[in-house]
Amino acid sequence: MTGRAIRLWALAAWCGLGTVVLAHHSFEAEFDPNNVVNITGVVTKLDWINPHAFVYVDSKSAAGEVKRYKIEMGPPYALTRGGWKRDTLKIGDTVTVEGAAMARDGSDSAGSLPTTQMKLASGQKLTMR
Amino acid sequence: MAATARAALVIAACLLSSAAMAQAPAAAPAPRWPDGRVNLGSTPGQKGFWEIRPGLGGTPRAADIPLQPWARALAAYRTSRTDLHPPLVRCKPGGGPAFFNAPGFEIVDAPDEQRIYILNIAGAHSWRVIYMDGRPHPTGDDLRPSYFGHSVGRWDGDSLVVDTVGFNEKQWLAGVYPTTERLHLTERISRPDLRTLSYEATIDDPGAYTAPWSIRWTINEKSKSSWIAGGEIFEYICQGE
Repeated sequence: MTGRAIRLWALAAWCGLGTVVLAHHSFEAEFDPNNVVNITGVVTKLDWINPHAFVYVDSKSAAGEVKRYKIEMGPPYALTRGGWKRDTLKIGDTVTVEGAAMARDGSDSAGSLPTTQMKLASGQKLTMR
Repeated sequence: MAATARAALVIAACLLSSAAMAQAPAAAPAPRWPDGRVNLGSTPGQKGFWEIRPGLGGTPRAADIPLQPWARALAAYRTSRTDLHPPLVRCKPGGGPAFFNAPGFEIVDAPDEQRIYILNIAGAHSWRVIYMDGRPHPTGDDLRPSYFGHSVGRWDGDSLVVDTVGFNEKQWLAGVYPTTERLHLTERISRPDLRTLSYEATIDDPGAYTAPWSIRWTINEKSKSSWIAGGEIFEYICQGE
């Protein structure tokens, strides 16, 4: 982008400036939005708790090794607003988490970006934040 | 096209959109009590609550804050550690400006009691009390440091001015900056129209800063945070993991 174009963008941004909205303070510290994966597996646990819900998914690799992923979701009130219902997920359902950000510490934990979705057993997709 | 011409076009578009906004129908006025005071919360005909989406007000940069060296070093340390979180994320109460966090709050004016309550949905499912009866702050041993401190309020025109002392040292301003027991917080809250709430907090803490500084935000029709007409606050018990 040229310097001029950048200045124009800055001007346009200033024109429409509203409340500055940033990502959750600790999210980027904990998860790497540049290390995004899809996780397919069986739901073993759902913690519907504040401030963030968690879902646990057992995923088997081609070699037969099972990894237990712990995936952080948004707060329950936001998930409800996004279409999650009491019976949306059942233990034992096979699901795919699309576009989760892996933990920076190398563990099998992942976080949900605004774009992260879960493809449910029914084929329906719901955002996880 | 020359850059100046393009810039002029952007500015013209900007002015036009501002003019269009100026011609939009006037916003509904803020509700008032029979004595003329602004009501910052619900009325029988206009119930609702103030919803906060994460990031309201943004995160002030350390370079813009008059931090003392130790406070600057602590803020940098907190930012550098991925395993440290603001107390609110760990289900502790958010004091002062940190009290106003997602998903939102309700302001309940109780004139008979001469108190205003602010009910927070998140954090530790907590509330603040603002004494409106003219009492002074407690002093000496009666002022025990706490998460929310001791708040007294008064009206300055249409602004509620809340004066608070007696904080403990467990709050992280804007998710990172420390305060000490010497913190004297002054908050101004106003409701220019039905759907707009303006907030300004002045942090005067000679224990951590070299000068007073301020945090501001506005909830209005243009912000992601908003007045949820007809909405009600709901249970949100913070449990952590």
